[in-house]
Amino acid sequence: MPFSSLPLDVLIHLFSIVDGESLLKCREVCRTFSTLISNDIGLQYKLELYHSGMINDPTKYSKISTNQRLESLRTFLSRPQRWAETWPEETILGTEGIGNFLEWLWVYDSKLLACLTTAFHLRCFEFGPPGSVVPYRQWDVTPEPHLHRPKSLSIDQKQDLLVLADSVGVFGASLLRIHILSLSGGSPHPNAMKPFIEIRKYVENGFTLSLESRIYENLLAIGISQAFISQAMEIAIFDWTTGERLGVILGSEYMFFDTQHILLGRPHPEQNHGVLEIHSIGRSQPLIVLLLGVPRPLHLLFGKNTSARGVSDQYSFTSDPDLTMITCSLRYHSTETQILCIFPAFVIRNLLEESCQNNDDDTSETPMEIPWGTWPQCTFIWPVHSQRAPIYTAGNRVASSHHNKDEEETLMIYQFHPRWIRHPMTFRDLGQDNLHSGLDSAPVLYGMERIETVPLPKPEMVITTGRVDKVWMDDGLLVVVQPAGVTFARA
Amino acid sequence: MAAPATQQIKIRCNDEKEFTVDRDVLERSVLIKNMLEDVTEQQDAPIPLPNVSGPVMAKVLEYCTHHRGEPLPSADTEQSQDETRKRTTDISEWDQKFITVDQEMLFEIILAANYLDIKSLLDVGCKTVANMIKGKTPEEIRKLFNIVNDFTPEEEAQIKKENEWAEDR
Repeated sequence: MPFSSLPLDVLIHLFSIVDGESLLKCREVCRTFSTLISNDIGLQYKLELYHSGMINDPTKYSKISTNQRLESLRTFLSRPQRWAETWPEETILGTEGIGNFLEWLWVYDSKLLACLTTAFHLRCFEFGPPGSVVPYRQWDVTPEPHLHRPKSLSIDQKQDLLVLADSVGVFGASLLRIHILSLSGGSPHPNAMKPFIEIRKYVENGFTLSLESRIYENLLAIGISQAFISQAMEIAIFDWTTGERLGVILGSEYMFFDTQHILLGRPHPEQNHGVLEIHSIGRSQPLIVLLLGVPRPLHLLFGKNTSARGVSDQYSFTSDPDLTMITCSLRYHSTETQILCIFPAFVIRNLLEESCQNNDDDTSETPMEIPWGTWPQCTFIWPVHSQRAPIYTAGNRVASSHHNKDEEETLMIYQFHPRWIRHPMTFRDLGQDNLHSGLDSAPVLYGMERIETVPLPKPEMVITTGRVDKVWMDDGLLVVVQPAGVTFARA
Repeated sequence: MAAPATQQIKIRCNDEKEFTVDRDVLERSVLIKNMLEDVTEQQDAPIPLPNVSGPVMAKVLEYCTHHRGEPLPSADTEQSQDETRKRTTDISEWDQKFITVDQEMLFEIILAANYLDIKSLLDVGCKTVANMIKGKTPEEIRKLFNIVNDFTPEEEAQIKKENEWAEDR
């Protein structure tokens, strides 16, 4: 009997078993196969997954219908690749001397740039519409002069809100002061009942506090952790309009807000894992707990552009504001390897939806635990050419800077759109047996030998520069901070 | 004389060939299992299986006998099925040996497994075919399975183009 006379349901079952590449080939074999593969939604989803590079099959933990998943995947894949398409040949569009004492820098919406100089002076720039090269508006936000050391800054342009957190340390104690300011004027924000919030903290001698803040509508989250030790403290959540403290999440390492969720990174209480938790705002229990196959003492750090500053650059997270992609990079000081894991967030969004659905059914607040290795991710490894080779991440972009012997520095920017990823998905089963007890032992990365080394995609941009201090990326703006000044490049 | 430990069931294939088999062996087929459950009284008439021939049934029974006593996959194990499906090459040694048959027989077994609703056998058969397809070009697949290319040149070019788009990002 001929192959093609097998009943359709058998053929569909067969095609659901063949790998993505073979499935494509089968489409070319004959009309029956082609029609069948093109019209079965499950097979279509499989092809789309293959096409996008996400060949790990998320179906096995998702109860969401294939139709919804396909829809979700397509929406994700249709995200514009603005940079890649519009980046001009001449990329360096303007240089603005902000000053050599630039301490921190923030960019918002490709438009607003805020810089904090070591003189505790905050200067804001606003860029015009795309194409404009130099800032067309600039103003200073000068909080009350004081001796505190600025630690963190968050901006919410829509609410004309600027939150500046600073601290002063006195004999093991530290007073953190959070200023609620108007972005445009620098004066206390008119909607804030209290112009500043004070938090007292006791810290071990010799250690300073590290602060990070996030704003979501009237909520303000201040993450407090001790620098230099991989020890998390807390995230305090305030209502900035009233100054009232709404709650504290203890033992977290870092956080990120989107419009509905808080992402937290922390060590797993029992296992030797890093944990990425996704909380829904207003719930005490996380919706999802993703276990990362990372030895526990590594520091987790979240934020849009926090990888280069902060407590430790061994391990960092970045996330797109709309949760389209979560990337984390991981580096060991003494091994010349850097790992970048990318977790496409449409999958995470599916998980969240599923988790919400499940929680409707039963009111128990047990989070969904997803172990490392069972969720789609992609892992890249590339060698680090020098001791100081920072990775900067923003959204789905990663910039990596490499020295050569002549102190020349090459800045390579990669955009990790799933379409650019071929077969880099790796499953790693980091079971308990395979995990090290931590950094006490040799700095060996677990599962390393089993990770497929994947060639990196072609960089989106390669810039050879002098020493690079910091990089900031956005969909429309690239900011490179160097000792000589700050270079802006616009899409 | 003691009654046999297990009930014996008679089946008749489409070529009049009859088999008498232990009930638990036959119940690896969900189709037959359901049939037997529907029939309450003892029946001596053989169960007719109009879609399976004797030689194929002999093969199927060989498989069922070897795997007798193993737990049957239940209907709600969608997840674990995905798990097994994921690893294409994952066929046990015995199954591999068992399924080393000519193509004609392979497809007959797949067809019978589908008809008799023996999920694990269907998977073994399909995985074997999947492994045969793996790494082959469309032309090689056609040749291997004797499939006629019934595309018009335009259609073929169109699909090729679409596939290139999928493969080359």
